[in-house]
Amino acid sequence: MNSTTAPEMSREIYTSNWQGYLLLLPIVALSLIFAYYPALDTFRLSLFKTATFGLNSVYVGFENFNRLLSSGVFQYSLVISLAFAVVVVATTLAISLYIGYLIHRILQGSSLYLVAAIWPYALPLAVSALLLSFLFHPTVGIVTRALETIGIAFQWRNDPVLAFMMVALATTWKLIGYNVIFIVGALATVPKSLEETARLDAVGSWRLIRRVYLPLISPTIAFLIVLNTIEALFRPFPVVDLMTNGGPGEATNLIIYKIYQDAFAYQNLGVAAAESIILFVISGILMYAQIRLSDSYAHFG
Amino acid sequence: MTNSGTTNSTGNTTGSSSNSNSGSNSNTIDIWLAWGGYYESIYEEMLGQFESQYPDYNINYTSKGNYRETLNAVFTAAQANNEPDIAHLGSGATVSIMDSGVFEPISDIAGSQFDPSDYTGASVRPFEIEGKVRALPFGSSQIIMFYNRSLFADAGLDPESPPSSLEGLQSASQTIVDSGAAEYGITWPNAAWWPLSWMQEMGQPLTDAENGHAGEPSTLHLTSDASMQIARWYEGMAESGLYMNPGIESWSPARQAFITGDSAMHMTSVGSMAGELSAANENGIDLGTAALPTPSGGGMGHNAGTAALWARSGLSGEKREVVRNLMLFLTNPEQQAYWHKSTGYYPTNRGAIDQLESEGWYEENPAFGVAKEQLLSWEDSVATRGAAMGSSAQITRIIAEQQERMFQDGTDAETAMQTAKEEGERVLEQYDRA
Repeated sequence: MNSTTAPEMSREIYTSNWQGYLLLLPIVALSLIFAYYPALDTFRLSLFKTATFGLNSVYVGFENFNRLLSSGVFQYSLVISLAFAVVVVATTLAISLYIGYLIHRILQGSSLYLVAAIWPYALPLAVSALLLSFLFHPTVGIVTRALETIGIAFQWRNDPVLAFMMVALATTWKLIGYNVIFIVGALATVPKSLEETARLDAVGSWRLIRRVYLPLISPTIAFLIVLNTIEALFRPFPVVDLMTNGGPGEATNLIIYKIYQDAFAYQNLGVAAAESIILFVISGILMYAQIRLSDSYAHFG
Repeated sequence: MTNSGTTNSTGNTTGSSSNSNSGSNSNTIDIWLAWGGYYESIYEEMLGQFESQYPDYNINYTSKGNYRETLNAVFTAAQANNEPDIAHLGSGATVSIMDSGVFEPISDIAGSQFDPSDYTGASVRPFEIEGKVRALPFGSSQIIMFYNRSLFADAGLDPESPPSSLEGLQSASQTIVDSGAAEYGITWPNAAWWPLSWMQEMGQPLTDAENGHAGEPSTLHLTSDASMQIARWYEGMAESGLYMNPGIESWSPARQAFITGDSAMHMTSVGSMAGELSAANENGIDLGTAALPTPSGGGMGHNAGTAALWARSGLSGEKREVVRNLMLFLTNPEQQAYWHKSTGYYPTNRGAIDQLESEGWYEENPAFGVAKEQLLSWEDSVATRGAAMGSSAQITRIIAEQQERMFQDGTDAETAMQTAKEEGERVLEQYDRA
């Protein structure tokens, strides 16, 4: 801890330990205050029964967890959250890959297209949700009216499947920009000669993507899968809040929204804390599995 | 002299009352009122008048957003003993506010100065729990029905006699849809407020323990005959395409459907009457107003406690008296009449209604007269006081969700209400009254 006993033979530029610790201090302090302490406190809170926003708390051990795990509403919320993640990750990657490949192929003005593709990423998720809500407004939306004239009643607010799709659409829209940046970057690292060789052998675009590009950019894809999963599990709160309020029924009552409802609408902090612990554990397991799985598939050059 | 206070929506400590002990005895009264924006100038006017009567006191008012945000701010502040002297909170949370111990019942702090019978029963009795009136009703609202008179005429219905029973509502809707006058007969947001109000009209309490007013409830009477009659009717209205379901708590889509003429009738809160009248006026709609149609065409009324003022517990001496006087002042006839005319929220004080009557307000504004008649026809009973439950917000949400199921995936009324009962009772069981 003290700098006086620094090894004599050290050839490092920085020989002072305490200066090192000093430089570490800000980030460690920030993590402790804003990440670790709240996380621990959330765990503590999850062991309490709280009715009035934490005013009257009674220690109940793991009762909140027991109740949640046997609650149909909670199980349903978990299932649709995972389904939501699958839909969002798959759609985002498929669309981003396609757009990324198109931009990669273009010889002139590709940066213009790149900017156009990543533009939605600059919008806060809440704004994309509001924009979509206006476009698809059940009575006065431009898109809804247009669909109506060709005989399609697009009443997504009342239809569980459509509502789910709309929330997924808003989230995907936002994620595509982010994904495209990485995919275009990854595609640029693939040697041009590979494509030329493949073209000479009359390999079509689809096979080229599948056999040449995908394996070579698979580390990036693996990274994006993990990242998109986190986004899909933790981010869609504003979309649900602004577009569906978790409805119709409970069709879009994603776990991240349910946590908010239990905490801030029903003042039940204990239950909400237990829910976020469960979500944390599940997403931790998912991340681990995805990284292990992609390790065995991904081709790290 | 008027202190407009700090409109601080996030922080809980607003300058002048940072210390709880000196705060509760100083000459500053902190009052947190729900709703900002348009309402602020009205609050300032009312509080300014009071301040001129008590020059030694400084009223520090803060607007904390909607009822839910105000409630969360109060509970958070209370953890640091920093709660306001008076808080304006929605009635959905009455029991948990009561159980928090942060506030003193109005019947204690005001004693003989407070006579509940000065207030309309529909607005004050819902707050009477376990023998005490807990809070002072500040605004009240009930359900009201609006109808488009020209669409009624187009459909061959008499614009002078709107339906008063659910059966009549259904047949009027059928006539409207059949005649092609409008796409739907009626619309209103999917919220538990409707079925629960109809149960009250039929004299059916929602819970045991005298609807939660005598103690902690554990049973929900959602599968009672009254509740099932309502649920089946509601299901039928949706199935036959007479009712347009805008979705859970979708207040503005429902109003839009009425304003655009997609629906010939619309039910909403009396509290939004002013907005409805001006929207109808702008869009050239010949607006008719009627009381909430009821299962039998008559009924016992439904409760109207919308929001109330709560007094901080632990106050003493002169300050306690001033806090009490301020609360009574804000709900006195003059202030309530002013509040009503400025916002459309219904007066809770009977004296205000008398005053408005003698001013000829109801002749000039017949729509408000319909609301007044409905409010005054309320009969006191276990059912019509409405349910007092610690987890009210959660239970009303469960009911709305099950109704939504009924409309969408073909769940029948029996299953929906049975599920709501089971899920709701599980929530009730988890709540412990203090």
